[in-house]
Amino acid sequence: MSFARLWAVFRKEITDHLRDRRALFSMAFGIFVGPILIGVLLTQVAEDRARSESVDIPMAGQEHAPELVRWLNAQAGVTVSEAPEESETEIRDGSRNLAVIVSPEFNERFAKGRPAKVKLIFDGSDRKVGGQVSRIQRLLENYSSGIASLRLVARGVNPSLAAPLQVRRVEVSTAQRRAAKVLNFWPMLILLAGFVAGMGAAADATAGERERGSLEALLLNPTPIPWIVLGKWMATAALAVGGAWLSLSLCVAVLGQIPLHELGLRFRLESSQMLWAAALVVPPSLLAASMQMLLCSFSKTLKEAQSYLGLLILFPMAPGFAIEMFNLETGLTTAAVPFLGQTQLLQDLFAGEPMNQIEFGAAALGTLAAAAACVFLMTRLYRSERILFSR
Amino acid sequence: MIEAIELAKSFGPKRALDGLTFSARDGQVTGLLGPNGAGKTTALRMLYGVMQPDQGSVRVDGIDSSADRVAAQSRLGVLPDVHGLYPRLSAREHIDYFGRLHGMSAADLRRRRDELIELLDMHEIADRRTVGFSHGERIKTTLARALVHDPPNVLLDEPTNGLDVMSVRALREVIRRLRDEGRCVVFSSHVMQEVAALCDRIVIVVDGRVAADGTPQEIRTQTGCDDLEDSFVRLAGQAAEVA
Repeated sequence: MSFARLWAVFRKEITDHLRDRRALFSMAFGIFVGPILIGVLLTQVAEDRARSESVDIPMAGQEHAPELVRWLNAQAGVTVSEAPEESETEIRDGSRNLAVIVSPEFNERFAKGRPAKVKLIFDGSDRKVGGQVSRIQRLLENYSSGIASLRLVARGVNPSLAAPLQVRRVEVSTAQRRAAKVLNFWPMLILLAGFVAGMGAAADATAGERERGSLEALLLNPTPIPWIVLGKWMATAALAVGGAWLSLSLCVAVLGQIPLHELGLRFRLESSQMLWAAALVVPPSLLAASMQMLLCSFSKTLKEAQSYLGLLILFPMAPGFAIEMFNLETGLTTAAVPFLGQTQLLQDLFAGEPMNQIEFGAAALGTLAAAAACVFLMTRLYRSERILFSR
Repeated sequence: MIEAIELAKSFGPKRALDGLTFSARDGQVTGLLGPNGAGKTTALRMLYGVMQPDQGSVRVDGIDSSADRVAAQSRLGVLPDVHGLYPRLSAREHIDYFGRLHGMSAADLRRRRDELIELLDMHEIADRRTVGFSHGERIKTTLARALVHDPPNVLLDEPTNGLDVMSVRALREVIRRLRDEGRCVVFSSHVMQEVAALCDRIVIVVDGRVAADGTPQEIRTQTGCDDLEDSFVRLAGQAAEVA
C-alpha cells in the first residue's frame, strides 16, 4: 500500500480540472463578481456621504443678515451661495430643491430682540435633500442658541438657565464594529466562493466520469477504492480551498480600496488575523467539496448533478441570513454547526475581535467531522457495483 | 490463466449468467463467442473484478478475485466494453495514469509507454488530447493503457467492433503477438470470422451458459457441421429451443 497511487489519482484529477476552461471561467466569475460589485456599491455610498458632509446653502436676502452669513461661512464645510428671491416658486416646480430665505425685516426684528424670521424651503421627496436640510437646521439652531446665550449674559443671567436639558450623543460601538455591521455579508461571500470553486470539479469527477463511461475503466485498476475516492476528493477540495482563499484576499483588497473612513468606519485585518481567517475557511471548503461530490455521485449525468448542486448553495448562505434576521445568539454551540460557526467567527474577526480559539476548534471539528462522514459514505457507494451498473 | 467457475448473476428477473464455467490458458487466445445479450460482457466484468457474481468465483493465476480484488486486477490488462477516455488528457497521459494506478515506477513506465507507442504506431496521436480521436485511435489508446503494466492476462471486450479492415488486421497482429509472448488472452465477439481467424480455443456462450467449448476443430466435430458459422447457428438455435 503506497501513497503513489493516491497521488496519481490526485494529479490526474487536478490536471483534468485545470484544463476545463469553461468550468474555470464560471468559477472565476462566481468568485469575482460579488466582491467587486459590493466594492463598487460601497464606494458609491462612501462618496455620497463625503459629498453630503460639505454643505452648500443657497440663500436669498443675504444682505438682511450679514452676521449670520459670516458666521455660517466660518463653519467647517459650509459655503453660502446666492439664491434668487423667487426660490420658493422654483422649488415648487422642481427646478430647485432647497433654499434659505431671509425675511427683509430680519435685521429690524433681530435688533429689537424679537424672533427674526428665516425660511428653510425644501422638497423632501428628493432623498439627498434630507441630510442637507437637517444639517442646515442644526447650524441655524446653533447660531440661534449662541445668540440667545449672549443676550442672557448681557442681561446678567446665567445662560445655562435657558438650557434645562443638555443632550450629548455618545456612540459606543467602535468604528470597526460598525464597519463589520456593514460588512457582515463578506463571510457569506467567502464561504460561497468555496462552494462555487469546487462545483464543476465535483460534478465532473463523479457524475461526469459515469456519463463518459470512464469510471469502469478506472475501477478495474488495482487501486484500492478509498484511494480513488480520496484522490478525487483532494483535487476538488484543493480547488474549493483555493477559491475561498482567492475570495478572502480579494475581499481584503477590495476593502482596502473603499474609502471606509468616509463612512466613519475603520477596517484593517492584522496579518495574524488574516492567517486565522485563512485557516477558518479551510474546513467549510473541504465540507463543500465532500457534500457536492457525495450528492453528484448519485447522479448519472452532469446535467442531473448540476441541478442538485444548485440546492446545496443554500448551506453557506443560510447562516448569514439566520444571524441577521433572527438575531441569533452565537456561542460555542452555534460555533460547532458547519458554516454557521465559520460565518460567526469570520464576522467577529472582521469586527476586530481576537479569535476565540475554543470556538475556532469547535467549528473546525464539527465541520471536518461532517466532511469525513460524506467522504466515508462516498467510499461505500463506490465499493458497490451499483455505481457502475445501476439503471 | 483465468478460470470462471459456475458464475451466476441475475438482474432482477433476468438471468444473465447461469452457471458459466470455462478456463483460458496461458499462451492461447480464447474467444468468448455468443449472440448479443448472451452474457459475454457480464462474464468479462466479473473476470476483471468490477462486478460480483451472485454465485461462483473467478480465479486469475490462482488468485480468487473476490478474496483479493487488487491482486487479481494487477495481473490483468483490460479493454472494457465502453472505453471511457478523458477528453482533456492526451493519449500519453492516459497510458501514464493507468501505469501509475498499477504502481509502476517512473523508469518502467517510461520504457513500457515508449514500447507501446511504437508497437501500436501511436506517434502521431500520443500528445494530442483524445477529444477529437477517431474510433481506431480510441481503441489504440485504450489498448495501450490496458497493456502498460505488462499484464500476464489480457481481456478484450469486442475489440474489433466498428474498426475498419486495416485496423482489424493490425489488431489481430497485436493479439497474436500477445499470445506468442505467452500471455493468456481472452476476447469476446459476436462475429464468427473474427473468432475463427484468431482463437486457439472457442467458448460459445448462449443464454448465460457454455454451449460448446474446445478448439475450432473440436467444435465442428461436436456439432457435425463443416463450417464454424453453421455450428454457431445450430448451437444458438438449440439453446433457444431448450428455453
